[in-house]
Amino acid sequence: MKGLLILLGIIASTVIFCGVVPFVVMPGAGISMALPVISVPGEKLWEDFLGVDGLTVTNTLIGTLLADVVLLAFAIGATRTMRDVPGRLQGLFEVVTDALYSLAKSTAGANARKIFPLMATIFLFLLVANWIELVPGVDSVGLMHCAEDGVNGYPKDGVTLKVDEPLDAGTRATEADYEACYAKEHDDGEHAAEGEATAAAAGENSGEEDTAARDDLYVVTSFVRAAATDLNLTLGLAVLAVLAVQYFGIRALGLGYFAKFINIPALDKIDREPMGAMDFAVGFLEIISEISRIISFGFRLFGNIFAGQVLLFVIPFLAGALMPLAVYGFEVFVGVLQAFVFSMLLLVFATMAMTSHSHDDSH
Amino acid sequence: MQINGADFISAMKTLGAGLAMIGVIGPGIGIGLIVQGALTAMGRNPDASGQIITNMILGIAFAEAVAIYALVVALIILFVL
Repeated sequence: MKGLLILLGIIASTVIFCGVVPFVVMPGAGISMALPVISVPGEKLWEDFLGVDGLTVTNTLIGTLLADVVLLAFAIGATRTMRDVPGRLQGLFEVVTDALYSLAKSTAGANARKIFPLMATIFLFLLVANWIELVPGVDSVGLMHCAEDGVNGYPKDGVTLKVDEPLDAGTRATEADYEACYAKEHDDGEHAAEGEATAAAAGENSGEEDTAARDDLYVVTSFVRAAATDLNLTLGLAVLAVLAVQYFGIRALGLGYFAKFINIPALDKIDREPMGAMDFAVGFLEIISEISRIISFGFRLFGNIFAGQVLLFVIPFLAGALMPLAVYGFEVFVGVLQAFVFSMLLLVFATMAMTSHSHDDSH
Repeated sequence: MQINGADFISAMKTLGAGLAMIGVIGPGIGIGLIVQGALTAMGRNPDASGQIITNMILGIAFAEAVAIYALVVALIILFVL
């Protein structure tokens, strides 16, 4: 009975928020959904932040710092007053840590204690960073500014974008539109005449295409964007992970670790085992595979989270009725799955690096 | 309707990005095969399902990496080139 009520509640709220609100309440009120800007690099919020030369703050940087702060706050809150009978927060952390540690133990065996801290940190950080994307307001609250060339802009209404129609993807701005809008924004005081002149000149330029420049196209650059939608973070984490794997390997095997890449022992025994030449050649493939791990680590995380973000942006315009809920639920799953895959691969690669291969030479 | 050079280039970019995503066919088949194998194994030996699921997800991640390469090529064509 309770389950049936919950199901009915989910269906009712989905119909209201994915059907009635966007298609019945919002049209005419000017508060329909606007298509956010889809951009691969992190969008710049402030250049020369706090007067420091060359310090550019992007919204993905803020997303990263926010994920750090949220994770630290949870960790401090859970561990500040440790009790034998854990409270809710401490209990949650104990469950998560225990699950991760038993996973590390089942894969890495005796080496689990060495790899666990890095692997668990990356898992928890990526989990928080990926789920931040799903908080309402993250990709929609930000600085409003003129739409650049090739970006879809909307008219503005006070502090919000004015979108009257449902499924309105905006108007694609051109260079002339941006010039006109910029002139209007920055020369509203004593330079008004000059601004008019610039706008007129810009209008003249685009007059060749028989369209007047619009000076009312705006876009919003959100304050926070999911950290993993920036390649800088994912490739940075990938380089860190692969370097850590080399470190674990050298710690465990000493200089013998490099025999995996440049197989001197195989060359030593080449008179007895001619097939050792093959092992030597395979060593160079190991070097290539180590480098390709950086690429696949970085792009897997970036591709999944970025594609998820684009999907969340676009799906209300493709199928506005029930699909957004399904995609949202799927992104919750993808966020935890990608965090798990990243840390799990790190665990497996580190375990492989820490295991000596020399003992099975005799077979 | 007159089509100028810039329009032609942007049309070709869109087409190229769409064609690049054909590359996800292979990983799609691969992921299907991986899950099929894992489910068969779980059916035969339900006790080992924990271990099998972990390895299945790892295998899916490797197969999926290829699909991600196709996605990255499409994104580069659309947004960077």
